[in-house]
Amino acid sequence: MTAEKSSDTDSQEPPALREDASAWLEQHGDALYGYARARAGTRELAEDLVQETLLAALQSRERFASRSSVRTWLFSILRHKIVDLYRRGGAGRQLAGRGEMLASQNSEQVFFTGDGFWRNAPSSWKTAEEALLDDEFWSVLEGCLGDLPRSLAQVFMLRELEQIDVEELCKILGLTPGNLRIRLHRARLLLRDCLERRWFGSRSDEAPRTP
Amino acid sequence: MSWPGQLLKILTLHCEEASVLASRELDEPLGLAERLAVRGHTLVCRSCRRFRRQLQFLRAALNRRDAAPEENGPGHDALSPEARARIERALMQASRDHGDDSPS
Repeated sequence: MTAEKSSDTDSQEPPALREDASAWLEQHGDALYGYARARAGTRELAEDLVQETLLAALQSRERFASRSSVRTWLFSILRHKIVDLYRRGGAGRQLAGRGEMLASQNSEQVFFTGDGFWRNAPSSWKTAEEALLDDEFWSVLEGCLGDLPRSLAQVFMLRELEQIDVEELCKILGLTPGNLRIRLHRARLLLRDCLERRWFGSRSDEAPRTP
Repeated sequence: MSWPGQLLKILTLHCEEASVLASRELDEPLGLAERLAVRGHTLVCRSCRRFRRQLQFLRAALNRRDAAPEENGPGHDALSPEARARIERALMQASRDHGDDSPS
């Protein structure tokens, strides 16, 4: 790798540009990658996002008038890339939302009776705090996020992970507030149910797991 | 909604509506009647009390997800040397192209 790198370094490059970009990668690459990795389903997609972010930064370098720190600026570019990706519906199966859960139209009827009572009452999540410390729980959560129907995963991820407020989210996605509320509610019903089935359900009634 | 209407809503809230409010309160401030309705309902309904708490747990978990390693093993949260080299090359290529219009 180092040999390749040095052979790439020919004298025609404007040194300032190259040094900037390399320094960004060097100093912020891992942080950008970590952020992207928590949002993109695969390592490859996260790496692509980092690359696209740095390339975009290189191009719009003149417009960065050190109003903010370089890191803040790079992260704002990355965030835009991620929001864009979700808005476009994600690249194949790489984002959350493979849609393997039931179709979203009828989730209320799945969870509630006609007169508005729970069909299956939520059980007690006794081990909630411990779950956060358990690697296995995190992969169950990933699985549940991945199984959300695409249209619900999109709004849910933008809301919870990018923490975009509902007003802005309506604008970005072209949804009415009512429609957005319904989608967020459905996403949460499905996710909660998924976690209960795949994680808490098997743990609330039984004795604590033995290692 | 009129006050009698709001009062009626507080008193007759069903679990489904309560779950909508428990979701909505994570996104936007609720009106007084809605706050009272969800609070009153969860006071007497164990299922909805759990549901509401679990939604809050879900949010807390997702906030921590950034910090949580998703896979074991070192280097998961860092760029691999291969990816780093690939990105470095792409950046060099781009800065070379980008520099074309300014004679050196």
